[in-house]
Amino acid sequence: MILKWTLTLTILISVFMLGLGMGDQWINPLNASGQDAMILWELRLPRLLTAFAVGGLLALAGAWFQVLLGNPLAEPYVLGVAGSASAGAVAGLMLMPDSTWVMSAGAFIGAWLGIICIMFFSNLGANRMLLAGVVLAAFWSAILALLLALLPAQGLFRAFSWMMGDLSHSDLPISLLLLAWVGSLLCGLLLSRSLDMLLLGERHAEALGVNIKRLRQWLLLLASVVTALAVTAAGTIGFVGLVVPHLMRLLFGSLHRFILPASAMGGGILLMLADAMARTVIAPAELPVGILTAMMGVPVFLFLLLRRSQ
Amino acid sequence: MKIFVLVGCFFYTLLLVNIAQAEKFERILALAPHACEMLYAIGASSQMVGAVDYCDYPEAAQKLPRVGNYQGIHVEAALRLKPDAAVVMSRNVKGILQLEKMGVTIIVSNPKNFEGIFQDMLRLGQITGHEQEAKKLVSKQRIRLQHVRQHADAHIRVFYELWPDPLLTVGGLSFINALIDEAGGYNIFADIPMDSPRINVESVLRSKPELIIVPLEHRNIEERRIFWQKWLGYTHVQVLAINPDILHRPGPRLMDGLEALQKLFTKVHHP
Amino acid sequence: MTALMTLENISVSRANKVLFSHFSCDIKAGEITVILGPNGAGKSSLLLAMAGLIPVNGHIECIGKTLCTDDRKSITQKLAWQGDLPPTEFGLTVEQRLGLIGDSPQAIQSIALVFDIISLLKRSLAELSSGERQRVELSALMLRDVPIWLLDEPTSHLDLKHQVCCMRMLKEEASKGKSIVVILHDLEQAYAISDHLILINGKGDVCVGSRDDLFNTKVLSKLFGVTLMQQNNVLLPNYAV
Repeated sequence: MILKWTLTLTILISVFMLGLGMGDQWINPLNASGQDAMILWELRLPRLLTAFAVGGLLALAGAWFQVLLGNPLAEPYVLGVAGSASAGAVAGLMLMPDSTWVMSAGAFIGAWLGIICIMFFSNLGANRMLLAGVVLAAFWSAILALLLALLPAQGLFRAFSWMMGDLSHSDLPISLLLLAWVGSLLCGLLLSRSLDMLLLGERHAEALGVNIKRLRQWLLLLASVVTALAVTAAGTIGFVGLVVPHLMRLLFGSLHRFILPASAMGGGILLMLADAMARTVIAPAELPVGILTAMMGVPVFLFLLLRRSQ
Repeated sequence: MKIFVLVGCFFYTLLLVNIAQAEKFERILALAPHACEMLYAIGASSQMVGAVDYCDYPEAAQKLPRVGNYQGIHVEAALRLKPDAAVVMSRNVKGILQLEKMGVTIIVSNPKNFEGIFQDMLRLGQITGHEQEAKKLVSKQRIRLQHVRQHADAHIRVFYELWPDPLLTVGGLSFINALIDEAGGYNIFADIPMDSPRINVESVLRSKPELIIVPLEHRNIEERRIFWQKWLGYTHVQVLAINPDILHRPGPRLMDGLEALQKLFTKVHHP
Repeated sequence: MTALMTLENISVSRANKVLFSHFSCDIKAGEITVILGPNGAGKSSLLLAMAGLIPVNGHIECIGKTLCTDDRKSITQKLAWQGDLPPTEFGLTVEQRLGLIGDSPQAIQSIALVFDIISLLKRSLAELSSGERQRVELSALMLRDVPIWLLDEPTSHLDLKHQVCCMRMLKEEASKGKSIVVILHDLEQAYAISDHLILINGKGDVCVGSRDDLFNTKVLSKLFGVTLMQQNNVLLPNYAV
């Protein structure tokens, strides 16, 4: 166990250094000056930290939604928060095409709208809540499609780039994102024992003394807020929230006091690495980061799955 | 069986010959802004019956009935205008194939360089019966092109900010890259084999552009100037605006765009 | 013996259909009460109501407090419930599952001996057979040192050896003063361990009484709608066609 944690921390630090150094040209993070230093500290570092925080938040939200809904296929966007956030972002873009921050504001408002809708269903059982979420998600994606159809063509670039995940600039201050990362991890750790019990199903958890109604409401709120923050900061980046928690379960077992911190770090690592790759593979041009998260995450995940089933 | 095919081929050939010989279309839809501008420039305005949303030049074109936008052509609205031909940029636009099936002749115009633009103008001149005007326009433009080429010696490093967020520029495959080259500049991202690649701020910084061109489309030039000068320093770079319509449309006004570009380049050298 | 749990005027319903009503009984320390009845009669629902896991009409008092107003933490100090096998999607190991009860590794090791699951401790629940998982659930129950145990078909999935083991364990725990309510389908097992029987016939009738009063061919044949024959102390159905 100690070995695994040391390894994770080592990987985290090396990916961080790698992310700082990688770009269309390699810059040694320990020895940079002049323009290189400016690029390193003012362009790469904020972006890297955003990637770390957003990746971690998405992975945490994914872990929570999976246990909350008792479904391994759940991920942060499953209850329609991504759809409503996207619709909000595009609506913002339509209202004020010139403004840079209005899209983020729209995304945040949209995400909250999605959360409020889903909170109405928090007292249903996990399966029905999931169903309600899927149906709501379909509704939001219809709204999104409608808005995209009405959006002037000049806005489509921006809308699509946002929907594929964009770390190049975030309107949320990085300190807020990092604070959210720490805060949500701590909340998660406080809840970790109840979450473990929830792995036995709601009835068994209740029989073991979990106040299931309250846990469900708090968890739903927490996971949704975290998702909303991540989406506001970087658009909809798929895959991190689904795969990282499973990856961490394969490596660290199922107890939440291990997989929550592991996911928070692992999500950060995956997204930092994906973003570094997105900036370099066809440098000086860039790829949308969402492509890279899927391309890197899927093979690793399938490999571990196959190895484990043997 | 064979005989039918032969007869079919024969009539089809007759039809093709007929189309080629029917020298004049009388009711034309201009379904691309550059085509609209070309038709006006060669004096075929009286034969135009419809256009699409973004055909906004010259002013008279704004009065034409609209039959579509970027996403597609409204076939019924188009047919109601009883067109006999439609000039399009690509057959892939939604509704074009249907229009063709209903008997409207589709003329594709998607020129990739100045020679292509000249050829298309001549072609449109032929089919509208304005051959002379087209020839005159083309020869004038050839002289202007010659003039630009003779003065293409600025050798200035240019960054073309196609879009600020996500940050998009023009790559080696882009039309605008060719224009910058033609006007005597050097596009710092000419080596990227893409049309409009997404790039990041640091690659721009490292390429040290002397001139940043902002096509002013829903953007505040001051905002962009402040942004870029923050990174590149106030003395090293100039941030200048240009009207995108004269650069992004392969029509008669592209020559204006080329000349405007060259003017920007000399402005940097002799501020 | 004192009553640990008192049920008064209970009606149990499922999906808006009332299964039975006006049921009252006392559950006393050191006694085993077996619930018998056909499928769908409401045995599991009654057990869930007694565990405070579903709302119920009527009054249940459990060790000095009204069950429905008591908070979850204090209820878990009083009673333990064993039900369906929990889901296995997220790959808990046997040791982790037992650890959720909150006992020390030593306690887990010693309890694991009873249903011999020592060799399974490190394995994931998802890799086990149903019988093995049932043994894990029974071990988890044994870790709950509370006065009242509620068990829903504890012998299902178990092989003969572990069925015997389970029955002996229940008997022993009762003799130490626990009060145990258990749903069973096997009449031999019911006869072997029960002090009292609760019979639910699925037609709205429910009765409670001592084993010696109720355990006879007449009552049970009627309860299950099957002809039963008596051999010594055992009631057997006629399986032959």
